[in-house]
Amino acid sequence: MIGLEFLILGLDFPQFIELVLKVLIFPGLAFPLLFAIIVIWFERKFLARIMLRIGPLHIGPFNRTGLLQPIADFIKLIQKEIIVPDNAHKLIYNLAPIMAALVASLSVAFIPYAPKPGGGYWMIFYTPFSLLVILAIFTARPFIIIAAGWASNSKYCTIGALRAALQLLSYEVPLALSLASIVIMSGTFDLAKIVEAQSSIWFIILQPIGFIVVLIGMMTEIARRPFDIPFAEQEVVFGWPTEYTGTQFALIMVSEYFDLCAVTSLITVFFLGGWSGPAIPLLNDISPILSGIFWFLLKMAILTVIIIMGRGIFPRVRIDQLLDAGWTIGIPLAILQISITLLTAQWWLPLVRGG
Amino acid sequence: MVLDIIRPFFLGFYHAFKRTFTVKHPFVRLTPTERYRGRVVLNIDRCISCRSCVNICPNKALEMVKFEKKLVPQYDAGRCCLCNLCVEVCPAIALSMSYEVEFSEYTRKGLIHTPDRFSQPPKSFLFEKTVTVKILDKKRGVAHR
Repeated sequence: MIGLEFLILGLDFPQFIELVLKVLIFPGLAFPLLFAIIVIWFERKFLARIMLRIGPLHIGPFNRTGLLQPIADFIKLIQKEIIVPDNAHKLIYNLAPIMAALVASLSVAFIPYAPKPGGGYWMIFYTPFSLLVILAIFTARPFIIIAAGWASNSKYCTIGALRAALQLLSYEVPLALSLASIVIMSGTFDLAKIVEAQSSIWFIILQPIGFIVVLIGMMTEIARRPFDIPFAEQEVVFGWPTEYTGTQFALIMVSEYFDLCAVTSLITVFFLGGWSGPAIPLLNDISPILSGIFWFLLKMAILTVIIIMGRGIFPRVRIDQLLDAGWTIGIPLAILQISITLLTAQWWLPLVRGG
Repeated sequence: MVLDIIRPFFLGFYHAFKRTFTVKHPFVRLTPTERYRGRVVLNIDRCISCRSCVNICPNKALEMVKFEKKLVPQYDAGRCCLCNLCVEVCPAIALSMSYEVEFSEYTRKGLIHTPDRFSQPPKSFLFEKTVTVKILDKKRGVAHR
């Protein structure tokens, strides 16, 4: 059977093993799921500690740390009944959570996680226009949300979906503009080449304004706490996924953490130099890929902590404040970053393009 | 304005490594305060069958039943509101409040304490670790008032 699959894909055996590893384990299926489980646990525990509570402690090993709580929650959700409301558009309603999870996990396929020794990158699908592909995937998200909110036929879902649509569509503009300055600086749409351009200096030092705009824009895109207007519990029960139950709700929750995974990877690629860092002796002996992955995951973890902390320390902003800030502060700052990048070209060009 | 955004991060980290206000409850428990009101406990030998506790009970949680040739109150934990009236009214000091709080059962019948069970001393909850409020206050460094 294995031989047959080689023939279809046109690969020899080591390449086939590599593909299976990529698709099933590291950037593929297992990694975002594990990321989601660990981050859900860490979020609950860390927010509890910020609020001087203890957090989940009953389920799991290691001295009552509640380590298996997300898995227990997931099992509970799977057992529950799936309820479809009356007058809901059945097809769209049932399709939306699957699409949300699918689209959220798609962008992981185009992110390079480490360089391979003989050339090429540790990523599922290499394309020289991966930045454009990622932007295209991000544009698809609001429409799934609108579809889910509309198909639920409930006022909370509709209001939540409209809020999400406003927020997501208006913050894509400053986001795309600040990514433009990165494209100007690195001269390519290829995420892997963008990382390679940062080998001497990270873009967070060259473009601090762009980093702040992208961080806030990405947090708005995935609706984390200071910007979680679509989910505001006090106003609209749970926003657009209010009517979802059981497995569908689990899918939507998982898709949010897939998004978090993608967003932290992307910010790492754009500003924090991706896999660049000194080689770790033990990991480097096994494979230089592992060393790169270690640095990538470390940077992702720091970003995740910063993004998660917002939920414990910030109050939620109002929708009009958020949109106001997006149009009157976000876009001018992004344009300012582009002009600064263009005006200071003679200083950064030798640093970035290896002059 | 920038400081307003950065300061909460430091505060959040500062709090995250502080001692928590709460304890890991079922495993570590706070000792109850002196005048804590838990389940009512009956001393059968002292009871003089005067019915004053049954009369004063606002929820009819107490009821007289026969037990070893003597009329003594029977206690329904599901109805009791822990108001302390029966303890105050008892002329023979046969009733007292204990610090037992966990008397939930799976059926309504299980909540009824027959005189035999009613006179049992409270379940010991000192089986793992206990922390008094004073020690906790010292350790966590933040007083909650």
